[in-house]
Amino acid sequence: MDSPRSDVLAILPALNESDTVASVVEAVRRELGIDVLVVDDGSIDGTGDIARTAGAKVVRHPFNLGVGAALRTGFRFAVASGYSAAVQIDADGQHDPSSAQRLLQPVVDGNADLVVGSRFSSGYEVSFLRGRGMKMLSRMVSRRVGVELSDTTSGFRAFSRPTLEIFARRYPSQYLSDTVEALLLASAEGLRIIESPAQMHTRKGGSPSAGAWKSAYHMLRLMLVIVISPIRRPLPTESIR
Amino acid sequence: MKVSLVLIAMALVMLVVILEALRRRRLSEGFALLWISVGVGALILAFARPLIDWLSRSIGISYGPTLVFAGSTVVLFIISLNLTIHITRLESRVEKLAQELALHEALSDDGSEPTDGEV
Repeated sequence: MDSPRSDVLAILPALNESDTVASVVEAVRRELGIDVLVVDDGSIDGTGDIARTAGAKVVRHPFNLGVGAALRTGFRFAVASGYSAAVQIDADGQHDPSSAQRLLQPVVDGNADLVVGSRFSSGYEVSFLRGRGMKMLSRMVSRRVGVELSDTTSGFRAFSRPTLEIFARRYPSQYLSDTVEALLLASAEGLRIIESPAQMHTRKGGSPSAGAWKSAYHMLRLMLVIVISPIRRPLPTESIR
Repeated sequence: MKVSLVLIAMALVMLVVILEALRRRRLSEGFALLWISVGVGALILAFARPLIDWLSRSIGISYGPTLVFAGSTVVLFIISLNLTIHITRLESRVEKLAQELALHEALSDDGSEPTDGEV
């Protein structure tokens, strides 16, 4: 993927990332040479306008709907605009654009449908409790999905066209379900999931999304989702334009 | 004894109803977790009559079940307050959505610049 590709889209869900969004958009455009879509999830700090000035296409939610919903908006945009692959990148500068290229490669080559960038295979540090929780989640998800995954809550991912089409019609919108439950959904749909090491930086701006109690609650909720998934009704498939 | 069996059965039925609603995706995981903890709480109370009696005596209530009633009133109050907060948020979102749509239609009808979502 050395030459710029016009049929690949970078999807950047963004909520109040005015400090970092411009530099991320520029870096992705410079290093990957692909189109960038910023899904402004109800920002009140002008993130959308800054992103547009930096050269991104922008879709704006009228109010905050969460990362999962923002991603699905991105998937719908990608499908409607005819892109053949997409990569999800954080707008806060945590994800390294050169790693995005490595995530996209298997998808572009047709060897995978969903590539998950893993922080841990490249030495990313998190707090002890959070690390234990993430490990436990990863073990549970790996068992369900049948693929060894070390970083199931990673939001650094690449998607093939078939994956985009499925996710455009149904995608979990609850907080963090967009990462964990999406893997279960992809696996149930027979999509080929692989993991790839990805470079991640500590945050350049913004604040971490949740405190300790909230994290514990979300962890519990995700475990409930994973445990009940085999007998749960599939997410409803919705019609799209 | 019979009473606690009935209570246990009620708590179990409650848990089954919650899990079934979750299974059918009529209930999101977040709310399900809330109701499951209420159900488990009810189950524990059904098993733990001596605990209730001890607890109520220690805070000066002579008839144990009164404490259970008081406790469940507080829990139900918190949950319904939570629900009205959610409804309030949904109301303001619907209002905003309708306004955005109305403005979008108006501004793209009169031949002005396409607004590209920035209304």
